Amino acid sequence: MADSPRIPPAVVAKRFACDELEFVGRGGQSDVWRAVRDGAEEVLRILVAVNDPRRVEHEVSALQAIDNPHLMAFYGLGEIAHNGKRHPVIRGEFIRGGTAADRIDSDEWPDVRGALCLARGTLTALAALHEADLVHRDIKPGNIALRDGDWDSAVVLDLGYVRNLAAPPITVYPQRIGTVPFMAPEQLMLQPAALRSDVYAVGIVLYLLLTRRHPFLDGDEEIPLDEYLGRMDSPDWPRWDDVPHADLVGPLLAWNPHARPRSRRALADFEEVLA
Amino acid sequence: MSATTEPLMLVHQESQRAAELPPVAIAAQRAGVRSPGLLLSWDHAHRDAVADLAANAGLLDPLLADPGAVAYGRATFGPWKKDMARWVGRAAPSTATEWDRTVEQALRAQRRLDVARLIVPGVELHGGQFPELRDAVAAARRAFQTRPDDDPPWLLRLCVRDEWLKKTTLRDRLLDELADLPEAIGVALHVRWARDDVFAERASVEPLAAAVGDLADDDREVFLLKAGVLGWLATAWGASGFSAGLSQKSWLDHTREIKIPGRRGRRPTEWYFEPQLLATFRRSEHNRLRAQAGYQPCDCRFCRRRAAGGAWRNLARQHDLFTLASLADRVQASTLAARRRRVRAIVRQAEQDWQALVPAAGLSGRGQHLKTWLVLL
Repeated sequence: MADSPRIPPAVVAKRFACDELEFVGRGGQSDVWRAVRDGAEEVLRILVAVNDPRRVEHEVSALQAIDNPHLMAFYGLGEIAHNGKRHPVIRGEFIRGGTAADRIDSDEWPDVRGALCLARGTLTALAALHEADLVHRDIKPGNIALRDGDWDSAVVLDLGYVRNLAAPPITVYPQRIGTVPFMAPEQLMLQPAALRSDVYAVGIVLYLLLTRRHPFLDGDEEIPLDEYLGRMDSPDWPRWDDVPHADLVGPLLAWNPHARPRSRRALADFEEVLA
Repeated sequence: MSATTEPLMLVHQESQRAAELPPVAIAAQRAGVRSPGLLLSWDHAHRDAVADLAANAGLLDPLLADPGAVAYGRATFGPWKKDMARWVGRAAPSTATEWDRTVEQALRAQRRLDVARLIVPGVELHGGQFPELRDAVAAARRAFQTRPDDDPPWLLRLCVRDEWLKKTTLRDRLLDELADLPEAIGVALHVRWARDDVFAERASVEPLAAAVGDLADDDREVFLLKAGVLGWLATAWGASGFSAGLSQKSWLDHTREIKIPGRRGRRPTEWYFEPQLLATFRRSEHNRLRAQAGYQPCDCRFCRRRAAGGAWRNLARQHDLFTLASLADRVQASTLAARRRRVRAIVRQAEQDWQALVPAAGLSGRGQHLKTWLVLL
């Protein structure tokens, strides 16, 4: 996230009557703040760049539908006006401890068990979402918070790209929705994300945490998309020789969605290993 | 269908001869074999005929009702102009609204019949009909979200040309689309084979095994419609049931007409499914088999009547259905692995009997299907 908010703190603090206000960061669609109101801490996610109000409806209804400790708790939907525009604001639980991306950036990696625990927590949230026909579409380290910094307490954030399979589609395909290094092949090929596209993303995150490298990229290299897709479909990628629990991670990275386990089954596999 | 009752065999309704189906259940009961169920069909019969057969199913139990998904736009049936079901009478659905209406009407009609499974109408997939599959899956999902609590389990009906199984890219595409269906929705798969001798080809049977195995391994119920003995075989790979009819082409050539040299027109061939050999023979061939040492004649009600001079073709058809019900009964097991072992044992025995009987009867050229099946079991 870049450093500067798109709406001044004074405007936010006044609108939400904050006792404390701290800018956390900004993403493609939103600015994120930590606020203390009436003595209680919460997150304010100001959707400054959402091009379709139905996306907000989907996100809110998804957050309302799921009550799961591994998914950010939803407190309410607000609105803020700035420069003549009105922006929706999603209020929710503020999770202390930062995200998995913050920890990776600080070169603080989990041990094998911690990585598996993070996958288990993420899959717990996904199983609940998937049960409700919801695809997250943007699982990545930056969208997985660690409650109190604990790898065993993963909390999935940001349902801004959530796709409701039972609702009329918002996205007009072909279109690429998500974050490229964590997207499944079908997403990269501009097809609609499937429930098991999220499972693929968990596979990439887990591989990254277990090996400290991306499964299909060497270091920070940038390669053309065709080459990247070729690696995803190649028997030579990724390397498995030094991957702990490769039998668990491998199926998550299957090219075809149907060859990946559904989130609930993957969760059961992880629970068995961690028991 | 629970693990203790699987696999289930259903006889399916066709346009004629509905009265010949309930006796199959009576014969099964008298022989101590679990009775087959009944698959009604709005695809093959007019609305009143479906209701009539449902009311006169006799011992055929459980009851399922196929809404059809092959040909729409048929408002009336036959020369009598009897009304077809409403969704069959309309053009094939193409919008979400039309899909929702089709699914809603088909499910409502099934609920009135108190069926053991609800079958969601789907599509027939030809090459390139991928978007319609998505529409069907989406419609099933929408309907499933608002289902009543007391609904029986659901199946989505899909009709595929065999290329959708045999071409890996198409099969992956099919399975990928189905992967997003709620786990509680099974698949009622109707494969339309290009030829009627595919059951002997590894190139055909192996993809069927792969598709059924993938779906079952994904904890999804798989039911094979109009599959005959291939459906029975597929129970070894995870199919929970299958249906067979009085005239079906996928495995049994009852409806194939052959030209008799020197005569005008065509007359149907008389076929008989030999339980000992798991294969179909012409009447004349079967007569030669019967003369061989080691041949075990079928003692079913229909064969006894056939031996006493009853209508050969009709009784042979009923015998076929009874035989499949018996085969399904013999492979009941508490686990899939155990069921597969039972199927394999039956096929292996048939293969051994084939070696003993068929060459001695002077018949040749077939029997490859048993070898093919054994490789895949």
